[in-house]
Amino acid sequence: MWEFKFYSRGGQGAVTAAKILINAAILEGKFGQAIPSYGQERKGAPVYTYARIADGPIEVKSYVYRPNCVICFDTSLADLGIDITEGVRPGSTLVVNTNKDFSCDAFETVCGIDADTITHEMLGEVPPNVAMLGALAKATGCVSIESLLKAIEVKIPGKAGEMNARACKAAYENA
Amino acid sequence: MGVIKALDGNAAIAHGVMRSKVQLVAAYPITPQTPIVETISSLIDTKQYDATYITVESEHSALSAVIGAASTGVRTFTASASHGLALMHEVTGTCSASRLPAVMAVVSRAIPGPMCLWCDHSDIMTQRDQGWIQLFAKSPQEALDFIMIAYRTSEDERVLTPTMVDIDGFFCSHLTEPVDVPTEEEAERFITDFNPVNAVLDPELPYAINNLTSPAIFTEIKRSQDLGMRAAAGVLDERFEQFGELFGRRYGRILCENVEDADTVVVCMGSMAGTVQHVVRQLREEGKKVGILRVVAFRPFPAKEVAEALKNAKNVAVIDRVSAMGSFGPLYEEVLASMRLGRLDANAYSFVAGLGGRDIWEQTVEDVIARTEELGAENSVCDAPIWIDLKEEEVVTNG
Repeated sequence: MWEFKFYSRGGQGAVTAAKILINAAILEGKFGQAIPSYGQERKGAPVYTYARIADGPIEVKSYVYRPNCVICFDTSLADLGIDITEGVRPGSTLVVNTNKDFSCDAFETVCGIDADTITHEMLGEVPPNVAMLGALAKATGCVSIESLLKAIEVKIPGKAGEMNARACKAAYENA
Repeated sequence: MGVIKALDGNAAIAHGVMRSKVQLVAAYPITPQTPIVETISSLIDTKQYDATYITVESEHSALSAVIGAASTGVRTFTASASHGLALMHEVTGTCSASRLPAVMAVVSRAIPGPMCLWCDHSDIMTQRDQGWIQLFAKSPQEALDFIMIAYRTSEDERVLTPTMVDIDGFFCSHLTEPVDVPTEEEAERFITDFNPVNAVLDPELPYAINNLTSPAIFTEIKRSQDLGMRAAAGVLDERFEQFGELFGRRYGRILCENVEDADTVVVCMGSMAGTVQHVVRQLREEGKKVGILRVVAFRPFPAKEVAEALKNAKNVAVIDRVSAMGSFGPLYEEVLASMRLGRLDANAYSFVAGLGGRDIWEQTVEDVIARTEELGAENSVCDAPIWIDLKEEEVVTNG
């Protein structure tokens, strides 16, 4: 079972990203679960979101404390004392939004993606969430890029969906 | 098989209401129930669902509108949580005593104080003796299914008692999973048109309901209600059975897994049941004889079934997601009464966990089971609830 923990800030679209990811899993006939942890909602505040993907039904209904994949939308969360290696299992994957070389020994695989730049160039001033999903699909193979693009276009109908799907694909190819 | 959609518990409730052909909805938004209200109004607005939505200024008005509409023979729905449910309290008894088969979704959130947005069962437990059937769902799928089952149970002429379908705030209300949403045609094989069998208000024939009731008849009215509630047990069994045959999803007033030969059984309700089930399966793989007894219907309480299910257990751990300060948790008390009914002498331990949004995760459940086995091995008596997952250093004794 894939167990994901998303680290982000309010406004970066991680909650929506987790839902799109689950939709992609469902399109493949898999089982998925997305569960955000809500605080007092404000832009910029740290937000944790969790997700699971498995081949069979998922009984557990709690947050993810021992992820095997971490998705970090913002490396500056470390300045707040937030530790993205907390509870990670051996052999885990990190997908991180960065424009620098990023290494972290706690993870077996580190996938860096400049989701902010891809998003800025292709979509403008919107959250980098679909680009992060593209990199996640590439790094883990938990869902196929085709299902992911379809899930994006279901969630965001029309031209905006097509543009988001293109940004997701660009991140998939650049990750 | 319906259409598989990724829905959270709130959206699943809204779809359950639509598929149950509810004719009138009156509700006031409150976290974490608000998306139910939003989804229903959006379904109505986009013409996917034909119903009357009454915008009200409070929860007291919401349930009052539901009572008024239900008294004219209309199928009704409302939803609330925490403060909102507290504000409804005065009228929840009016609804049940009037034998109006309304259905309400309760998205459990702690009753203040201190002020809290997050999940526990302190809100729904204030309603346990208000004469409503209470069903606890653990997942978005069950949330949808139980709404449909609730209408068919409440409206049965043997019952005529309203139902609360409880989902845990955030742990179910905001948890997205694949949900099999029955098509309208499929739902119609289960949901029939509402045929009010009780009094129906008619402007041509005006009369009063719920007026001053004297001691000469009050007790008999309460006993009549009690009999309706007790009859709901058998009707729920029939409906669960019928629903299972039509949709392939099998439920019951209690749901057990691995209890037959279990030394230790964990009893619980709501979303935590999923996590307990997960841990029990893992411990079974390690050869530990543990099981789960999940109470789905808290009202009417399935005492006989609980007693029967626990007959082989050596230790029983009951997790309440609420503290009955100064006494034992409400679920624990019900389980003890059930064990007495079955003349069972297993050790029973009361646990308090998951208050105000604290997560009940795998470790919490493992701790409950380990502590129960320790206490059971010593044959300890439970003289007070055990607060599991507590930061002892933060607890003060002088306020």
